[in-house]
Amino acid sequence: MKIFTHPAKWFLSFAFAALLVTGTFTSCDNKDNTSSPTAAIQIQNPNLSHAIDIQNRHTEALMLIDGVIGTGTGLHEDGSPAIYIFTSRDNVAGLPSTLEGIGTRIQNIGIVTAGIPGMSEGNYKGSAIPQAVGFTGIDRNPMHSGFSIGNDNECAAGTIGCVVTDNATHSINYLLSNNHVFARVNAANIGERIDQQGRYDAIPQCSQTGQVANLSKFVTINFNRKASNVLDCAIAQISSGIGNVTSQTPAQAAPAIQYTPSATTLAATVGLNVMKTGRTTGFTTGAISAINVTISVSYGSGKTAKFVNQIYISSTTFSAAGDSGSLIVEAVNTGNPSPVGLLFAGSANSTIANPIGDVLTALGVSIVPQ
Amino acid sequence: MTISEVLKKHTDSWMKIPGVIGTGEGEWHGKPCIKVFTKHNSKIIKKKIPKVADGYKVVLEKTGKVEAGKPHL
Repeated sequence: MKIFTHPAKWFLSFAFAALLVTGTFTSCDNKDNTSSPTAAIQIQNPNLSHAIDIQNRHTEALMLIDGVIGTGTGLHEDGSPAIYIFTSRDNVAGLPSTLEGIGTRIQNIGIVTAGIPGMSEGNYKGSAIPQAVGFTGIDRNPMHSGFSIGNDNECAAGTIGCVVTDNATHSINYLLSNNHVFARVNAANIGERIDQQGRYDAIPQCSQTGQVANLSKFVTINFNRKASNVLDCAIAQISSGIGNVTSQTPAQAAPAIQYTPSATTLAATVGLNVMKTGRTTGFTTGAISAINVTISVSYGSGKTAKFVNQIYISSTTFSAAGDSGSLIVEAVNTGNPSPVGLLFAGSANSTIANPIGDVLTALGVSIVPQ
Repeated sequence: MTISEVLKKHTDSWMKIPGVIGTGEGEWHGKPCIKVFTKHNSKIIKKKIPKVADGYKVVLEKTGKVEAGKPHL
């Protein structure tokens, strides 16, 4: 699935993903399984609830048919409910024209590759790295949040979350991102050089870019099987001479918006609409679908860490690899949106974030709301 | 019991089931529910995870493998 850049196509992509997700990605053995996109469809058209129930009853059997790669619920052209059957090729045999009285729509969508892949190099091997539509370029004067950033000792790229300042003196400003973006998953030494862009985005790729900060502090990730982590975060002190650095996101064409986060954080709640601006997928919106989440997160090379008290967003489009470090804020069109989480992980259909209040407390900093 | 207490009570044992990678608090038709996140669908998971735990509906949600990450060479 492509990541579209045109606003209208972006909407179509989202709508399609919402349909697809009801069957392909969240249809599990439990027919009562749900997700936010399903709920959103139900709210928009309550008549679809019945079709979704039917779809859920038949998805498992349909997926056993060679060539069927997913199902969904949507509408026929006349507005009546339809059950979508997605196939990887034409002329798949044995597909029903109706299911319990609901007409089917058979759509050949080809082989779905990693439009929104998992988020680590481990998942990228053997699959396509997503084409970034976000902020991979040079942006050092002024330097906005949401742009590519990375540790100079590796050819990688993450995202600048925002600018923060120390709580003790309010005189030292830092960039906020993840441990695995700034500190190479615990491997870095304090003082290591942080560059904009991350070297993965350099031209030629992996060549050295411009220094903008030095690693100041990170919270260690504990890979002990019994350990419970909450944070994958780090800060880097902005270099002298880099004067014009802002928590504001870059100017973007509608429907994306430019915003500057508030210094006042907001606790995550289920159903809260949120947005973020990141290096790979740019400006995206979603909704929190679970809180108080315990989740095992892979860091590649067989390393897995357990995280607790996390924020979970069910979406195939909200983030992708390279968005790590993005600040997730409440989705509002005016004023300064309240920060909610620090994005750090995900899968093909999920995004995981640390609670931003815990991030700031652990690092002893506050967000600079300008 | 609160939903947080129920999660605390069950999470460790559920996460020992192959394919279960997480739990959390969500909503089901406007009511609090427990979500169990899975790497894949399996009959073992369906068999071992109850549909209701201490009064809260349990919803399975397939996330696939969850990874921290960045483009990296």
